[in-house]
Amino acid sequence: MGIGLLQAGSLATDPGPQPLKKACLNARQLVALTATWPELEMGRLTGIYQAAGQEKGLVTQELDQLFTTHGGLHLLSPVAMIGEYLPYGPFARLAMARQCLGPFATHCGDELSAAQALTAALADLAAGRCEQAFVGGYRRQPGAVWLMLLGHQEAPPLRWQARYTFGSQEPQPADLGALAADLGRSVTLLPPAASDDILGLDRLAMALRRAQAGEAVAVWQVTADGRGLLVGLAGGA
Amino acid sequence: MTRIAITGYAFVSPYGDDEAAFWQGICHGPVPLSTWSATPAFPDVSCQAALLPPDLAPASGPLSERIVALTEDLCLRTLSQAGFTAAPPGLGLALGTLWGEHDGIGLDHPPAPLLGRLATTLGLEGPMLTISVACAAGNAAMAWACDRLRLGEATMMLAGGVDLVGPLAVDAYSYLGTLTSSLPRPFAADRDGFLLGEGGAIFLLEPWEQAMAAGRPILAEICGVGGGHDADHPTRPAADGRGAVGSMQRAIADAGLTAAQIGYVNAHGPGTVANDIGETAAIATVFGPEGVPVSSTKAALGHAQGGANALEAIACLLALRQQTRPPTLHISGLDPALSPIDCIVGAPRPGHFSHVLSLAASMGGATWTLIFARGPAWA
Repeated sequence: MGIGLLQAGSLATDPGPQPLKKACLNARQLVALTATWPELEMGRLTGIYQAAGQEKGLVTQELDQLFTTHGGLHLLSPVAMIGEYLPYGPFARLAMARQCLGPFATHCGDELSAAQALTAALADLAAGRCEQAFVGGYRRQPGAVWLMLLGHQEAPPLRWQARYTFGSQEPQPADLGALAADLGRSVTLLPPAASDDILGLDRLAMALRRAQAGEAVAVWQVTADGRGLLVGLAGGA
Repeated sequence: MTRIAITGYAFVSPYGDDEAAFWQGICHGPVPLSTWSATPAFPDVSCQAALLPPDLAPASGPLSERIVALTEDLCLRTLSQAGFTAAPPGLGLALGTLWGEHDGIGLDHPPAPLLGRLATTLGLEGPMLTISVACAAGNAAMAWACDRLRLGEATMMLAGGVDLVGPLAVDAYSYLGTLTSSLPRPFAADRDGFLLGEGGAIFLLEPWEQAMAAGRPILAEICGVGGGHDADHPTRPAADGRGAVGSMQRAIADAGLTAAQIGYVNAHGPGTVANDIGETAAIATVFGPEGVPVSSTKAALGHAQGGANALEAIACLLALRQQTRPPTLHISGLDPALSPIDCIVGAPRPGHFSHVLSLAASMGGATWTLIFARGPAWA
């Protein structure tokens, strides 16, 4: 048994009116998305590993505007306050809807968030801290959510390595070489994420698929101030 | 598996930044109460709180700016305590904070990303992350830092949590009805909410063997981490404490221990009616009829939100060093309606113990547990 990508997908969400007493992220759609995945078995210990990038700023601005415009947060229902105005709220709803009792964390590493969430999920799966893992994130404007489900499957073991770097906007040959040495084979660096790729999650899913097909690939994420994360994934023997 | 050593720490609390004063405060009080009020534009947004002493609080400015300044100061003090004059190569940072990046009141833009600024000012080059799971953020951040070291992704990690009281927190918790009208009384029948607090702590974590080779004294060890989720309700903990049960059991297993080897539990224990139902149920489930001594130091420290877990980690470390468990202040006994637990009441309880467990929970249902062991420097 190896760790692998079971499902991945995204959908648009309804942003709803402002100020908000109703869901900004459409939680029903979020749940509907996961419910169509036969691999997601209720009762399996499932962790949630949310990536939160610049969306935090938008959420914060909306909360600040509500407070300053209306002199407080009383326009919000308590459920909406937690479910929509804290960065982790929408994914807490997912945990409740799908009975995900495993580890839950919201990873705020700016542009590195998605790769950090993925590697945390892989580590917990490998350590047996959960049996399945949702990795996901959302984009507020235009509203969209992206999720992948990882779990154990009949497949060769998936290996991964993460290397943090600093001071460069491009992965350095030495870092790629070290990653290849760690994985025991040369790696193919995937091109940068497309502009509509939420937090780079789609590209990470592509990397997982290619690794499961036996390739060794690397994904690079970097912040404007030069914090970089190179993730290598390799499948097969 | 790589063992995680704590080789330095610094903290700031309502009792100041001195260990003796902190220990005296959590064991005996009195809680340094102040009135916090927002800007004149929001005269109704105010509350009683356990604030930092004025001489230790960051200078005036937007909340997020002051949290960054406080974090930077704690990181520098932690490094200094461990004997570093500058950040060593590969040093990373994992920080739990609720409002450090989530309160932009007074700014005309969202708070600037905290990590980029700290990377620059502190010279950090390793893994960096803030974790946003509200009141469990500090434990989650320290757990993430431990994994970076275990997986060899970092050579050393600064980890902990920091928060200050701000207008959004006061207004949100007032609106939710979770603030006490007097002093927090966790686990008591007349409990009515928590007291907002502020402060935090940063720890220096590194592989055990590396610390030994470098001759740095190992003060304590983080030997187990575990996370879980209630999956029940956005604002109310599960009555059976299922998330806490899972996170404690996973942390105990991660440490290779049994529940009987835990000598003290520092509970989440904010003092709200709803929390204590689920938390006592969880502790009773995990520790069984033998029980374990439990207390909530939030009665003494207030609830420092993203900084709470890190301050409670300081309480755990001092308990290990002193071989004494702090009590839950302001109560005379356990609410008989709660699941029976061995709640320490009235006075600190001495004993011989090597492992303590710190439990944290958040609104929204996330729970994170850390287990600390006494280090050879304090043996």
